[in-house]
Amino acid sequence: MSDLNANGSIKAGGINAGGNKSGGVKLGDALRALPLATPGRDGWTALAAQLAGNSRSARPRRRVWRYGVPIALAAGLALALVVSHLLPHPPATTVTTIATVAPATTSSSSGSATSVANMTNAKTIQTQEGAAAQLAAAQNRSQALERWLRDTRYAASPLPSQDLVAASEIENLIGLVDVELASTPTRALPLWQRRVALLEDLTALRYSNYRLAETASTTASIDTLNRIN
Amino acid sequence: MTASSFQQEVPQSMIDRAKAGELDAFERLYRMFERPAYTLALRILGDAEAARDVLHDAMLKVFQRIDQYRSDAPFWAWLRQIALNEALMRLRRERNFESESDVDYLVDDAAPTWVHADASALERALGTLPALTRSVLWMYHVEGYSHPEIAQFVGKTTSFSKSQVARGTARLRVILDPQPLPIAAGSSACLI
Repeated sequence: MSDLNANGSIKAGGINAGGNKSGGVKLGDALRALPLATPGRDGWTALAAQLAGNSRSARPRRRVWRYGVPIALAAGLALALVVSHLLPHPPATTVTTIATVAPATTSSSSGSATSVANMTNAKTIQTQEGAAAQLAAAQNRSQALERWLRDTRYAASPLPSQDLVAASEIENLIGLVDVELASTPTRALPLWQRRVALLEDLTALRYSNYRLAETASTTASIDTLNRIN
Repeated sequence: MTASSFQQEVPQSMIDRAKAGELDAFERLYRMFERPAYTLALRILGDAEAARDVLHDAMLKVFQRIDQYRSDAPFWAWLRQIALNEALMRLRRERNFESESDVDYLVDDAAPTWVHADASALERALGTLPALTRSVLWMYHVEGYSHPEIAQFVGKTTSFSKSQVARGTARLRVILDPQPLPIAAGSSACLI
């Protein structure tokens, strides 16, 4: 993560550039002396329009937050809790069901080849169903975490600069995962799991800076979050 | 030594106004940092359109999060970090994150050629470097990041950062001042 200098001072970048001290310093000076580039067209208009749109949609959220945060938080956390409890179960259930079916088929003495094929099929189905269940669980968890992050966005106290940069980096990584998900659907499960892990990182970051509202309900909600983590 | 072009003092009152959602404060901040952020993105990506996108996305991110900004680091440093992250992320996304092949360049003590090169020649030469080498060189020389910091940004080692700076420097030297190859003894080459 970035190491922003507290005083923002610039280190002597040119010194000892790859073992070429004099050349390094001179190159740094020459590069810094290059004129600043100009974007060519005014990007402010588009940005201003987007900002205006965002702030209009953000205002009601702030008001809702002021009064509705304990409810939203509790609901989000409860959902996350339920999802996290459900996550390991679907594959286990599927395994049990299919395992009891497969031996019954193999009891026929004349059909050992068939039974092997059946077992293989059963295993394939079992794997597929397990993967599908895991995928669904990861998607649900991802949704729940995103919802929590969205609902608590305006309640978080200002983040220290480094955390803010970290949050920005995690969001960028999530964006990268989304790009990969769109281009390589065959790797959906590991990508969704990676997405969940990144969202959990973001949640931890947000939560660590979360302003504790001084209401019993919020404290209870945060206790719930602690239990999840 | 000239400081990074980002290094501009921003009045706290302007940050406060931006935090309060005043669009004209946003605009003033945008105008202050538009060219430094665009230049950084352009040097990293080497593509004007992509650099404009990065400028837009980075500024949007800055303004959307300004209410979360605490003044424990200068505003310019915070904004620069976001712009840098956006640019590097885009570079990575476009699978343009490969460094040049493992070729050693000689680093000698001859007079540096960029002292005599004009700005446009230096810019052109810079543009011929592989994107990652150019990015490392820029982050180190112009933005003043240390090798460990750069290593962290690009997900490589400190030695990698050092070697990219050395190679980029040597390569610029070659591009800006191509020396005719000496003719080896016994060569059949004939200059007429």
